[in-house]
Amino acid sequence: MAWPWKILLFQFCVTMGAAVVFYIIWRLAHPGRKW
Amino acid sequence: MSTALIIAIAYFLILSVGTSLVLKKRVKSGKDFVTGGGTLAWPLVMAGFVLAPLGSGHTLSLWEGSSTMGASVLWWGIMSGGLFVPLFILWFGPWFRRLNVQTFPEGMGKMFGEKIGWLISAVFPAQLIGICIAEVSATATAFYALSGGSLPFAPHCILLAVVLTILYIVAAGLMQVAWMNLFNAVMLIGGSFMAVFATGSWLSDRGGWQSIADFYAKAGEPWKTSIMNFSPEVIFSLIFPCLILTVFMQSASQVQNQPMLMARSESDIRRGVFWAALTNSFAAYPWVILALVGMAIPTIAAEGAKLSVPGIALMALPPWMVGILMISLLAATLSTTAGLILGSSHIIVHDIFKRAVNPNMSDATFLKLTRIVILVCAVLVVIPALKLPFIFSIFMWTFSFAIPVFGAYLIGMVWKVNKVAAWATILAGYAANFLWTFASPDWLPAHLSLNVYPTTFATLLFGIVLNLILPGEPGYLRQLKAAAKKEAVVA
Repeated sequence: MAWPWKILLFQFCVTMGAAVVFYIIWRLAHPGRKW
Repeated sequence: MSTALIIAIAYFLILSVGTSLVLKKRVKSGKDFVTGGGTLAWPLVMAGFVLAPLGSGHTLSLWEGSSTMGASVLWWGIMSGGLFVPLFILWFGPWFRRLNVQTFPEGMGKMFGEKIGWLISAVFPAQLIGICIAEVSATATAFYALSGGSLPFAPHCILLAVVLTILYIVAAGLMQVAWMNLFNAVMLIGGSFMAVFATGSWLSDRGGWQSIADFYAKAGEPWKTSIMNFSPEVIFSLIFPCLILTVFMQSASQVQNQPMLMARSESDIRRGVFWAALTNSFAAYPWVILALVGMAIPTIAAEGAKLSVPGIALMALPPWMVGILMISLLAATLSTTAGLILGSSHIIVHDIFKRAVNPNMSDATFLKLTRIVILVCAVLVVIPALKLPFIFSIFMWTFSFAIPVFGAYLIGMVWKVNKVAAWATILAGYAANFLWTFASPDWLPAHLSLNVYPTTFATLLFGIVLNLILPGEPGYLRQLKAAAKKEAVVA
């Protein structure tokens, strides 16, 4: 590949992984609240 | 004038004038101008929020930083998108909305007494304008470098940057920012990634990315193409400052909190969290990759890291694509300068002119005055931008003024409200910031001499210790919850 897609994939996984963790924490801390 | 410059100016003029004509009628009051009317759905709230912290810090500073720290500078984007954005959108932003205020200083005044609100409303506009000067310089650099120097840097490029900033906000305020940011978020990501792919295509005839990796490996710097380089410089001058500045500084910024007022509900703040996280993180990638490619070409590297992205763009891309790349870069910096000037003007008019000087100010006067103050702030930004060179320590000094304020705010929201502790925390943080900026010890290594460290240390020390010792009222979120319960029982 002519551009470093592996770095982008890594960036995507870490960023979205962290965002999902915070989402789960929010869901657990606010049971029943409208998303 | 270069083709790239004409394309970029035409895009911003059409977008600014178009949104002005469409939205001006929807802004019926001064409150609408600074809060967006509180009626907008999540895509606009997300766009209004996400481009505000995406300025030269995510673009120009990172591509310059990559010349010494390599691809690891992308951790700035990852930390900001994966940590700050979810924390703010899911917690800090909705909290600010629940305070039922218009500005962050007003919120602090509500929690800790009016006088603390006055102090912050005096300091914050100066802080925001300080940051704005750096952003205007970055915008002017984008004009100058990507047009191949076809327009003189000062005063032409600086004045152009300020005029486009004024057009970004002056007709319809926050609502205009939201709509323009929606288009600009697409251009920021789409345009910069298009440039990366086109550069990749140009590079494929020259050995591809592997040739860039080989170049750095031969130069004894193979870590420059790895994101996993955790040198002390990367940890202490990039990762930790990013953590402190985004979470502690930006969370207290009026520029970040203002878009929360335009959401029609708390749900409309939360629903954009994944898009905002991705946009914030990905925005950094193209600039860093283009810079790494540029710095591997000796003729471009000889011009210095600041000109590496313009250098590779002018070498590898057709003029129209350079224009798209310029739009992309300006989408980042102009949205930030516009947010900073609108935020400063809002605090000056709402907290100083209205609440302190003339509480009976009419809505029409408020609107007129806000527009005038936008122009005054623009002049205040232009003069130093024309006269002063960019000084990194001054930039960090102004940034750090928000750290103790957010520390006191966070403690007050979730733990305990004590006015003495809040005052002491803020003043101690300010003292540490002044001391480290103007008399920083020379025995520390460069990456540990940043003023964000002592300012954060003083904030945590005074904030935690004093609140452990002193009595106080329950945290403000619990107070709000109790008041809501009481109201429900009465009803």
